[in-house]
Amino acid sequence: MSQGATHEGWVDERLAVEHPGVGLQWTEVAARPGRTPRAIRDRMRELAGRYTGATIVQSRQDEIPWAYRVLWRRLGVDPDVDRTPIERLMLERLEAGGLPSHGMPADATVVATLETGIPVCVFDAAAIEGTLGLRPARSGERFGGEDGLPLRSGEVVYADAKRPVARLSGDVAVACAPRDGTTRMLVCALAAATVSQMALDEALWTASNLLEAAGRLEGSS
Amino acid sequence: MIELLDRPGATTPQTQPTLPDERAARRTLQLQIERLELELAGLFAESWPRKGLTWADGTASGAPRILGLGELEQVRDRLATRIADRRRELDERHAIEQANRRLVEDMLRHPERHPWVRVSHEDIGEPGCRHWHVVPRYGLLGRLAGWWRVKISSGCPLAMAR
Repeated sequence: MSQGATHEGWVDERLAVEHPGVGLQWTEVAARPGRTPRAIRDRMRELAGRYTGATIVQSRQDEIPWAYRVLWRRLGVDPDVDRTPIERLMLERLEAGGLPSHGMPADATVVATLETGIPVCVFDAAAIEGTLGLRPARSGERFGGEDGLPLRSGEVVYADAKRPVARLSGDVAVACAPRDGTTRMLVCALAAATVSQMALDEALWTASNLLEAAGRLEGSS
Repeated sequence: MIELLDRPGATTPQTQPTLPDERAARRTLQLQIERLELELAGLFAESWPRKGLTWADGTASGAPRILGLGELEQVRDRLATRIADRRRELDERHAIEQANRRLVEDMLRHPERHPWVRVSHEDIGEPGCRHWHVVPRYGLLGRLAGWWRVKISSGCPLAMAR
């Protein structure tokens, strides 16, 4: 496996003091966006079969989904209104009756998030300046740069050295999302208090592996 | 000591007010929110498969941000209120479901006392589509003669393609 080293993202000092354990970790992987190969779509179908109404109800009490519900709540977000990424995916699976494929890298993040419970998002490595981190948005800042929508001052966002690049909900700014011509991606996992390093590693590993595998499978077909 | 007292500015009162350290209070509130969230998750699981219980209080939650002490208190209080409301609602449902279970038992023992009564799994807080229905034996004849029985449905209809 050629997944790069895992990097620890920086965290705004006030955020780190207020929410110990919150952070992000990321790794770089050589991958291109594209269609999801059949083998990965089969894996998604199998994954969708594991989620029933009862398992979704029960999952709220599981350690990792619960940790993100607590984080959302402590950040002033009602997770019953604005869902955590794992809960949003599980509900979408119930409503759609399956996990529809949206191509790579979106499908890799879906599988990694559902299998581990960790919110995962993917950026175009070339669009990120410096290193990734978490911080509150500054007054007048826009999502993804000058052309983006205005952000509420103080909103906790993923950011690079220059601008906010994604929301905590997992929405990646268009300017930073992988696109045609992307050759390297940053796979990023959000850490919360009580979530183990092993779970974070697994999330990064799952997404990276799928992205690499997709490249190999597409190339061979 | 006298020299110190005589030094200019030594007796000037401090103009910078000392803010109390909120960290301990904030930490306590965060732990309370954590415990309440666990309680809410348990209550949510306990409520399954009942329908119609609302888990969001309808207020917009806004963007994720670092909350002030007052905001943390509001989150804690809202959560505690929601848990108390849902628990009360669930207790009321439990009482109704218990009464419905007793009704089913009585229907099975004395169907003639409950003509045409129908109780579903949902009425007793169970998953599935089964229901107990008191109907007359042999149609009109049974109805006129007072021959009643409980018909138990076999379950949910098969899923149809959309």
